[in-house]
Amino acid sequence: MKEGRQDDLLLMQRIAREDQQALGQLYDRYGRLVYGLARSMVGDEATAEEITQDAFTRVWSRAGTYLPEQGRPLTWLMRIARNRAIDELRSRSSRPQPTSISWLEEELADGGADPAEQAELSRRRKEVAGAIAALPAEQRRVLALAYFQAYTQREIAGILKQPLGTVKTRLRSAMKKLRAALEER
Amino acid sequence: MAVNAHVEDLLPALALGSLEPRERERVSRHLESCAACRSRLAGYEELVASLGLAVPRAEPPRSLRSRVLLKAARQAPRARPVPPLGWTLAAAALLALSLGLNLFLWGRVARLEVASALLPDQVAVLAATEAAAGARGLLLFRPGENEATLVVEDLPPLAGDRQYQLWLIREGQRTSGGVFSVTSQGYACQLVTPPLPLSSYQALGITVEPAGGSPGPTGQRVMGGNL
Repeated sequence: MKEGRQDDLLLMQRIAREDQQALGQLYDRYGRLVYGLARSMVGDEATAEEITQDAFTRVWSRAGTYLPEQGRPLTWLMRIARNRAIDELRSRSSRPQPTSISWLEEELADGGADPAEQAELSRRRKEVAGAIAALPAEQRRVLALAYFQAYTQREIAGILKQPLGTVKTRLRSAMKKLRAALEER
Repeated sequence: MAVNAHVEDLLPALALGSLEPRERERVSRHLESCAACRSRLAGYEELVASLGLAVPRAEPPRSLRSRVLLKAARQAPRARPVPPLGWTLAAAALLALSLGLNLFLWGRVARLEVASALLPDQVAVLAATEAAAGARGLLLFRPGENEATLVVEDLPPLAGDRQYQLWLIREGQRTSGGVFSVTSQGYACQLVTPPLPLSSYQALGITVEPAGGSPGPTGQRVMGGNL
């Protein structure tokens, strides 16, 4: 588990020293994940490419300010990508259909079919997919609307025609369960 | 304490970006003075970022990698120390300098050590015609690949209805290498992705064309060179 993370930290150090090959390696490692996230959120390929490009170039320009205690490099990258996608979604008058997007099923997150994928990443993906799959369906639905489409709780209540209090409780419960399931021991 | 407990309940939604602006402001004010809540929030933010790991991956277009690296290369601070160069770039540098390309252009080329993506084994030098006297250009490429980087400098900016178009010439046939515009300083750095590997072409040229490009060259030739 620690190996992959240390490897990423070394990459970040090299990127902070403006080593472009290191940025290329980070892209080779996580480009498909970032692009997949962006495409799931915004729905179209051209914007997803733009978001992916921006996310990696932001890592490039801000690597000097990255601190390991802020989280893993990968989650830092994913956070940058998601925030950029949220800005994009909120600038639009309509968002992709909520029915078309979701997380992977746990078994599909098994990276065994992809030998290039690091064992740690594969394990972690499976773990996260499993924790999400274990949530009650109504919590997963609320979480997906918040996560992929950046709707506020009030907006979600309107979309699902549910009381705001119910939405808040479901979202909070989902997040607490996920945190408990995924917190490192 | 009751107030703090209530704020704590809002942290998961804050991390997701799902709070209404008024709630967000209230929590933000509390966070300024509460290290414990800041730490809890950091945990939820890490969780939100982790959720992206379970999103289906997708294969981006192959050219995206080059675009990422090119954009990073263009952002690199100019004061940055020049990194150790591969021999190909050292050769490109010598060539560029021997041909009198100025340090500004060389700085740009050095940063194109994007090389991990493009690893230019070869550099084609473009010479200006009288129509663009003083313009300089380089094409960095690997012969067997369908990707190259074109860098031009001091090419006159065109009116909005005109663009430059690169042509790759193979046995007299001209294939478009893409259209581009230059900055107000006459600079452009462009990814070129021709249908055939660069080794298939013998020469290249740049003409002025209507915006969006033409099926074949119609306008004035401003630069040319051999591959």
